[in-house]
Amino acid sequence: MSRSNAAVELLSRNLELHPDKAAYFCGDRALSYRELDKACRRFARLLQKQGIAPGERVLIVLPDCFAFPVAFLGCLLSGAVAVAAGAHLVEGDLTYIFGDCGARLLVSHAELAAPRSVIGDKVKVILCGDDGPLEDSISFDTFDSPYLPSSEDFAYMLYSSGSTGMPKGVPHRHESLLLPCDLMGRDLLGITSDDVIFSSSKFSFTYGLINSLAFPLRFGATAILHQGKPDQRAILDIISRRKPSIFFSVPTIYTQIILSCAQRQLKLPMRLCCSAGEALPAAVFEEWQRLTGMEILDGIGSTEMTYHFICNIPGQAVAGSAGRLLPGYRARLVDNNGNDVPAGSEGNLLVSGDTSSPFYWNHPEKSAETMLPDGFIRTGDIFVERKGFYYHRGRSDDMIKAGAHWVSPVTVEDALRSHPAVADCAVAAVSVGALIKPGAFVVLTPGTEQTPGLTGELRAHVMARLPDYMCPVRFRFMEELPRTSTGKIQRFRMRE
Amino acid sequence: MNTIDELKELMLKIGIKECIVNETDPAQPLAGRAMDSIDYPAFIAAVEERYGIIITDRYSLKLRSLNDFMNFINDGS
Repeated sequence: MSRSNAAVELLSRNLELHPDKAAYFCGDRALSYRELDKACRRFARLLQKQGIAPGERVLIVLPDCFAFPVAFLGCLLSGAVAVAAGAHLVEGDLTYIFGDCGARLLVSHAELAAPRSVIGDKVKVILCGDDGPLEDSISFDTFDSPYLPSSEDFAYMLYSSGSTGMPKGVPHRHESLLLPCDLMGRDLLGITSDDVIFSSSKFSFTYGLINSLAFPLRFGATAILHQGKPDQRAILDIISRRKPSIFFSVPTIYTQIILSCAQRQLKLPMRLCCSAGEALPAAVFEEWQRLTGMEILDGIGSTEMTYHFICNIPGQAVAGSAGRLLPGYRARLVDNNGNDVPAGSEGNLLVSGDTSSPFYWNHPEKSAETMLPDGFIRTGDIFVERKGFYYHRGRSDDMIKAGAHWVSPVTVEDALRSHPAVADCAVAAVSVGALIKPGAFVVLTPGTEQTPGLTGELRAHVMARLPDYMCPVRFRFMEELPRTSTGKIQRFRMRE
Repeated sequence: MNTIDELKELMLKIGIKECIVNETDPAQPLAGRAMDSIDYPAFIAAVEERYGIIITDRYSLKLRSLNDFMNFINDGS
């Protein structure tokens, strides 16, 4: 049975209704819906000319510029599976993703060196500038036969960090891009063509992909793209210049904006502020409301479920809560034996809905563990539900969600152990400055002194090897680490 | 050594460059100038450890400058 092609759904109506309206802003430039449609079709043709068949994976490693939606939607039009990997990823992760997804073609930016050094000359490369392919030698043939996907065809795949440090591919079908628009964008956020959407989260994250690609195109709105690092100074500058009506961000960014504000009040143009990626602390919600007069709509979603399944409703947001279960989803809170817990008790959150991914790419065992036969997905999050509102209470595994990124303790521990002063270590979630961050518990090698400069030295050591959000914010030095009788580190005993 | 100097020493300890520490105005917010989203919690953790205090979520959002930290440490306000 065939389904609609999500790219056609997202492009064609806008081409009819308002071809010259800006689909995207990036810096001082705009890309109209007509230009976007033409560039996507040209890209789909380019893929065909490169011999990429429907179902083949195309690895896209691009910053948030016009080239990303062009390449991503071009893949969907041609039937290829767009594998979006972050431009920030380190070489080790890119190497793994490239091998795991089996792409025969890489789409990358001319200014990014890492993706090309990872793949060498193993596969074809389409190099892009900010607008799309640099050497588009194909004259614009009309591409008027978009691929008609079957119900089994995948449209795209994102990678989510795994507890062992290796990312897991999460494939999705075409409707995963469209359903959140109806369930969340239209019914809950009331997005219309009048909206200007700004997401500080990038396209390579499921939150950013839906915010900056699905929502604006589905409703004929305009999205603002920001290529650089999402620090609060750049974000406030964009908000001041472009005046978005909806701002999607993460608790770390809201916190940084609050902390950087010297004034007592902050006047902002948005009608909605949304948060996801990690639990929004009540203190951040309340301070933001005091500072700006606006509530933050916190929600929880996942790469596996495509987007939010629990979210606060505009005008009724509750501080410290992730919100209510959205229509179209079912949730269960269960104990470790899979039995439902009574209301008001903590339980492991299971969720099901039509936007769920069927399995992890090439990980049958992990898939069986997470994607249950009854259609529920194990989120790994512990929640408590009171009067229909869900409250996050932590993780059931050792993974840490810091700055809206997954951090595997194993990865950070490996980096720390490569320092000569570290005999042994463990990394666990610690709460500092209203947010959850990685904390390190270190046993020093015999003869090493705990000098005043050691903490800075260990931080610099980790920073040089891993993305900065993985760097522990607190170091505690211990005689020994808590372990099980079989020698396994008990990280849960170190959470603070 | 006064409290501001002690706090600047803690900034150095968590790895913030000396030139940035020296230029830090105690009256101005640290975020976005002297510290990013990674440095800030590391600084809070260092202050808690150095002075044996716990900075709650709510207070942590009000401590924006070195002067704020100094007042909190010295007066608890």
